[in-house]
Amino acid sequence: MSRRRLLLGAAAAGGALALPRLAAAADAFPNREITVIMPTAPGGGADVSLRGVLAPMGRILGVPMVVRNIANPTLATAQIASARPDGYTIGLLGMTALLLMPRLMSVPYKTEDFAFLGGFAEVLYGLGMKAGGPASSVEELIALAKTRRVTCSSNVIVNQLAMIQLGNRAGVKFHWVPTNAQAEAVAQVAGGHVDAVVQSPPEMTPLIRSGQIRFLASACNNRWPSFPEVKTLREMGYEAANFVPLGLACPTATSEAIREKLSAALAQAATDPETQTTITNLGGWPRPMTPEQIRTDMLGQEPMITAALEEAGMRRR
Amino acid sequence: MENLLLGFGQVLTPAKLLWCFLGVFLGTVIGILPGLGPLATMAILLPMTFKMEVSSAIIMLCGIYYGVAYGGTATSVLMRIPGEASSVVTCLDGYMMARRGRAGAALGIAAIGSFFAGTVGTLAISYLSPPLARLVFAFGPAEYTMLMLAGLCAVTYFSGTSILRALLMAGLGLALGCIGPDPMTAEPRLSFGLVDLSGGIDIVSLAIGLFGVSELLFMARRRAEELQIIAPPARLLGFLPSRQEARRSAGPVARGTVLGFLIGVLPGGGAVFASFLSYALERKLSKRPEEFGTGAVEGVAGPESANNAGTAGAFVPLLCMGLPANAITAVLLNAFMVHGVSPGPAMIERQPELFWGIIASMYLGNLMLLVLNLPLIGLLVRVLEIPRAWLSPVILLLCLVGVYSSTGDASGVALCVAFGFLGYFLRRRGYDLGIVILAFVLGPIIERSVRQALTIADGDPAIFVQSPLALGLAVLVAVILAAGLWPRRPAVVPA
Repeated sequence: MSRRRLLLGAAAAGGALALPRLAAAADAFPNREITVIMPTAPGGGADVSLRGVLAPMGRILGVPMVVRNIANPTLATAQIASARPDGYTIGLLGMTALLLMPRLMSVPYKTEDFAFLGGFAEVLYGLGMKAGGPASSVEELIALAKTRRVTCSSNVIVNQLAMIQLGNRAGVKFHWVPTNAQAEAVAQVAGGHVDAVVQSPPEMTPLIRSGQIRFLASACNNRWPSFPEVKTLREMGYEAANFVPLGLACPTATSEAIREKLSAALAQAATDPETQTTITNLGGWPRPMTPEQIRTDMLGQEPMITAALEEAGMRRR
Repeated sequence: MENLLLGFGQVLTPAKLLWCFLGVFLGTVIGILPGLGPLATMAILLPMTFKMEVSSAIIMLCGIYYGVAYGGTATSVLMRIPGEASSVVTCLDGYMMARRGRAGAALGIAAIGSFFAGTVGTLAISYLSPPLARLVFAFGPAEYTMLMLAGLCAVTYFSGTSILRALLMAGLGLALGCIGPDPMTAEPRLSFGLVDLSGGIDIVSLAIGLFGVSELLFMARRRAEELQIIAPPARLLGFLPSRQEARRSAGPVARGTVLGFLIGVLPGGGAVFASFLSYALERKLSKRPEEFGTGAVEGVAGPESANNAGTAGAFVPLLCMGLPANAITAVLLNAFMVHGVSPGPAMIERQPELFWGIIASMYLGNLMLLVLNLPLIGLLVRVLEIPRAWLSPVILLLCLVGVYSSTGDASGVALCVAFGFLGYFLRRRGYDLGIVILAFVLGPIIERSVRQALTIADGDPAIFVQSPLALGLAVLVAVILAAGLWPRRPAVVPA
C-alpha cells in the first residue's frame, strides 16, 4: 500500500507527464487487483451486498477486487476523489458523504470529482411500530402525532428522510431519535421506548416475524419482496420515500476507455442471478443502473437533504 | 436436554467439526495478532460462505468470534500489548505477572477462566435465553445512561494513588471520545477541520497506541538487563497456576463470568466494558487491593473470564430475537440472512436443528479452544526468550499493520503512533491509561443515551428516574460513587 501511496504522490507531482502513459495503459487494463473503497465498517448489509457484486465483477475483469473499508465516510470519499485516476482505485459513493457532509464541514471533494460507473441495488426501508402499541396504521400514527409527541428512531439522518417528508405532507412532526446501530433503533421500538422506527430488512425482519414489530409501510420506492402485501407510503397516498442507491464511482479524470470497461463489468455483474439473490436476501432490491441513471437519481436527492437538514436543526454552511 | 442432544447429533460429523475447528483456530490467531480484529476477518470470509450449507457457515463464523477472546490474552501478558480491545485491562496485571516469572500461570489462568466462562455462558444461552432476551427490551436510553454512568463511576476504583489523577485520565478519555460526528447533528466536533478526524478515533488506534507503541518506546529506552523479566519455568506443565493462584482466581472467574454475560446480553455493552468492570469489582473486593497493578492474579482471572462470557452473552439477543448486540453479531445476522434464515423464535421453532447445532458447536468449540490454547502457552512464553532488539521491530510492524487493517487508512496509523508517544509521556509520569480506554468507550454511549432520552422526554430530566430499572441503576450509581470516594483503609502504597 505504501508503495502505491508513493506512486500516487509521484503521479500528482508528475501531472501532465503521467497522462499520456495512462491512456496507453487503458488497453492493458486491468492487469492487477482493483481496490474498492467502502465508506462503512465491514460486515454491514451494504458491505456484504457490495462483496456479492464484486465477486462476479472480478471474474468478468479477470482480476481480484479488494474491498478497503474506511469507516469514516468523508475520509473514504476523499480517498476515492484523490485516487490515481487509473481505474485501480474505485469506490462506493454514499449519500451521506456526497450530499450531507459538504453542508456540515469543508470537504476536499465536490460532486464533479466523481464519474459514476453504475449502480447495482437500492436499499429497502420500512416503517414499523411496536405491535399492540397505540397505532396500527400510518393514518393512526399521523393521528397520534397530532395529539402527542411522537418519536421515530433510525441510525442515520438519511434513513429519516421519508419520515420528514411524511410529517411535512401530513402536517405533523416526528421527532428523530438517532441510534448508534441499526438494530438498536429497532430494539428501542420493540422495547416501547421510542414510538416508530425506519430501518432495513435485515434488522427488522426477525422482529416483524416474531410479532414484536408491526410493519406499517414500506418507506422506499418499492414493496419488500419478503412482505409483498405491505404497501409503500407512496401507494398509500403520501409522497415520501427513502432513496439510497448503491453504486460505484471513480475519479472524473479516469480515461473513458477504462471507465467503460468497469461500467460494463459492473452492469453484467449486477444482473448475475446469484448476486441478485444475495442482495435480495440481505434486504436490498437488485437494480442495475446506468452511470447516468444513478447520477441523476442520486443528485436529485439534494433538495430533500437540504430540507431534512433544516428540519433536524443541522447547521448549513 | 433432548434438544441439546439433537444439536450434538448435528455437529458431530467430521465436516462440521472441521469447520468449527477452523473457526476457533482462526479466532485464536486473530486474537493473538494485535490490531487484527474479528470484524474484518468475518466480513472477508462471509462471501466465501455464500455457497456453504448454512449451519457450517454460522458455526465457523461464530467460532472466530468466541475464539478471539482466548487469543487476545497472549500479547497482553507477554508484551503489555493488547491483542484485542477486550484484553486491554489484562495488560495491567498480566504483564507484571510475566515479569515476575509467572507468564505461564497468567496465560493458564486466562485460558482456564475463559473456558469456564465460555462453557457457563453457553449453558446460559441454552437454558436462560428467553427471559434474558426480554432484558434487552427493558433497557431504553434512560436505563443505558444510568448503567454506563455506573460503569464510569467505577474509575474511582482504579485509582491506585490519587483520585485526581484517575479523574484527569477519565477526562482525557471522554474528550477523545467526543472527537468525531455529533450524535444528533452529524457535525464534526474537535476535528480541527481535518477530514481524517471527522469520523472519530478508532479504538484500535487508541488501544494499540497507548499500550502497544508506548511499551515499545519504553523498551527502546531501556537496556536489556534492566527489563528484569524472569523466564518462566520451561517445564511441560509450566502453565499450571500454583495452588495459591488457583485459589485466589476461583472467585474472580465466577464473578467475571456472571457480570460479563449479563453485560454481553445488552446491546452496546460489550466485552471491553465487561472486562473493565470485572477488574474494578475484583480490586474493590480484594483483601489486597495494593497488589493490583503489580501482578495480582485476580486482575487477570476476572477480566479474562468476563470478556469471554460477554462474547457468549452477545449471542443471546441474536439467536433468540435476531437482534445483534454489536457490530460483530451484526455480521453474523447478515450471514443468517444471506442463507435466507432470519434468527429468532421462528428459527428456534422451525429449524431447531440449526439453533441447537450452533449451541452444541459452542460447547465443542470452547473445548477445542482449551485444548488448543494450553499447549500454545508453552510455545508463546518462549517469545520472552527472544532478544528484545529483534522482537520489538516485528511487534511494531504487526501492531501498525493491524491498525491499518482496522482503520483502512494511513491516518489511523499516524494517530496510533501519536498515541504511543502520548502514552509513553503519561506512563512516565505515573498515570493509569486503562481509565482512558474505559472512558473513551463509555463516554459516547452516555452522551448519545442522554440526548436520546431527552429527545424522547422533550427535555424533561425526570425520565432518568422514571422506570423502576432506571431508578435502581441510579441508586447503584450513588452507591458506587459513595463507596469509591469513601476513605480507604491506609494501604501501604509504594511511591
